[in-house]
Amino acid sequence: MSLQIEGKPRPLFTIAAILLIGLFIGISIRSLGYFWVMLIPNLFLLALTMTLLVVFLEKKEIKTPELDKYPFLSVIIPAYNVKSSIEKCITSVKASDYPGEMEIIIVDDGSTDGTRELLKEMDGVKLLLKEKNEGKAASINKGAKMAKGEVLACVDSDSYPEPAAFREAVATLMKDDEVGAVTCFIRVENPNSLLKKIQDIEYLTGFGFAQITSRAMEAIFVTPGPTTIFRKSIFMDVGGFDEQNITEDLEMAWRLRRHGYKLEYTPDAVSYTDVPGDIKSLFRQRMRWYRGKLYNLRKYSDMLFNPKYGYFGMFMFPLSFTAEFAGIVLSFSFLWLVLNQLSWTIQYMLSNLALRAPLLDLSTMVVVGASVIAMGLILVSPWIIAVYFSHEIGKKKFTIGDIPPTLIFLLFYGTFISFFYCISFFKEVNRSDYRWK
Amino acid sequence: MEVSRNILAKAAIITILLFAVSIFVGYQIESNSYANTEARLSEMEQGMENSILFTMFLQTHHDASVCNVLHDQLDETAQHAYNLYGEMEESGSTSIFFPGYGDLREKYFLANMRFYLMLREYSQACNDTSVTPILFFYSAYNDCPACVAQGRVLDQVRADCPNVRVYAFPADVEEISMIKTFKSYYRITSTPVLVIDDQKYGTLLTKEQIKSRIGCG
Repeated sequence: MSLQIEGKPRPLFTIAAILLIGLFIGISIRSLGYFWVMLIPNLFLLALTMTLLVVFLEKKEIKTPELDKYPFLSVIIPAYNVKSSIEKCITSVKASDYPGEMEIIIVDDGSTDGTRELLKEMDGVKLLLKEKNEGKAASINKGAKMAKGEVLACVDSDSYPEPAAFREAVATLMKDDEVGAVTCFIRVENPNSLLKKIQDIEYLTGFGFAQITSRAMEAIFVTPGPTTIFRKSIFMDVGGFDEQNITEDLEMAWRLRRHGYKLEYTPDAVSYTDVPGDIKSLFRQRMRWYRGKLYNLRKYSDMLFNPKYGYFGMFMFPLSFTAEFAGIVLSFSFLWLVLNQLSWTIQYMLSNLALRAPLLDLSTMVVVGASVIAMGLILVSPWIIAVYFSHEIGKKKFTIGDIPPTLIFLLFYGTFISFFYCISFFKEVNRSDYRWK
Repeated sequence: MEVSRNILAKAAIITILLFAVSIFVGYQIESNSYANTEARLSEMEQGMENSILFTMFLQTHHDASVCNVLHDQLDETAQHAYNLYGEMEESGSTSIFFPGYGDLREKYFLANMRFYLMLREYSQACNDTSVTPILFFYSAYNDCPACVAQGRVLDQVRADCPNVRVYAFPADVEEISMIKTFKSYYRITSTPVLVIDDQKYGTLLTKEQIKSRIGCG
């Protein structure tokens, strides 16, 4: 599926922007030194992490209230060509221990891979079959219209809520009439490869650590697609999901906030989701997320630095983008270092060829000293604490096997992901079309 | 709002503290390494003082009996200087707080030049041509991968030929006037350049080429 963006692509402008930023960072590195240029964004990220950590440590206790009566719950699962996962998703939803009345609505969004035939054979679910593929947001909106429940649970077809998830989330939702949505603790389903294990730690810290902090600051940033609970009246009041948005879950959170509704989170409502297993899929996913974020920044720019929206407007919203900007600086600086080192190594190898000497000498590749390594470790230490607490909240035991993905996550993953952000930024600058599955 | 401004202030203070600790630790590590290099340079200079005294004695009294002692003394200092050079280049290039080891490098190069001239003096006075000095001009401030490659070859030559002494000088350090004098004397306009027996080589030389020019192996 693709979405046209306003205006024509502007490749020359984009190239000029890339060159200008590259030149600026290159000159800065030449004049100040690589370390000091890298230090500025890292210092900013440290401040951000430390703020989150302090808030987290003070506000990490969350108690889910008990309800006397649980409202009617409508679980909506949009499905498009998801033959491989939909059965497992429905099975996990059916295994829910939700004490109240519950219905499961599956909206088939014009599947062509046999999903539709599979769904027709299933018992205990309400089927809504659409002939035309209109996207996830439109499917959920249609499902919401036919839902009888007072509460909606939107579940992605590749996500698998734990039996207690709906009970915990609905109890959290019902404690305050102004709460529009409750986000769950999203975990990675079956992290059986290194890339998935790294994402597992990313999700653990993102939902176990960052989301608790965001909740405490009343600045929850997104209603995650895998599983989120909505109060139907509020969902309908704000107009349902934006069907033209590539990150409808992010946009919904910001819209709820703009309408003055609260967002909640409970780590006791756990839902597992499939994550990309290869770099290409991860790249596609992150392009959608980051471009969606930039797109929505334009749409909701009035909330930026707006005290009316509390810590969301004054802290989380602006800092989130500044963190991404720091990511761009880091990406360019890292790229500059790699290119510089690469050019140096090629010249060195050519010289060695002329000298008939061994082609590579690893001692010539040393670019950082012991002091930089020590400083880097100290600066990354708050994240080590964050990872530790996230494991505790996720009730996940840290094993020896977790050490390699954790180290990669702490030391390299941020830089790696910031490249994706960098590319998405320039795709937005270029006004490239949005395409997603 | 549940989160008070005190929490944010606390976070800001911890951030500043953590940052200060990291800077302090980084500075301490480099400072120790710098002090260690400085001490070793002093040791080298002290060894050189002895050699100067022996050379002066030789010049004053024309007594060739000190030649052997001076030879050993120069040998010892040469080894010391060579090791120190490698360490200083490596630590200096990765240093944040003492980039390039500025003052220390200057001191080292001055000592090394003195050492080179003393060796020439010794060779003449004691009529000893067994030791071959090689002058190596390289770039310190401008990226010069060929200089590093040539330097590695010189390491190999030195390992194969115990009587070779390599004196490396940064051709782009303008602050040391003696380097300028050397550059002008040998007409150095590019890097890397080798000077063997007063003969200048502006192209890269292989290990075999250098060894054949100095008559080693």
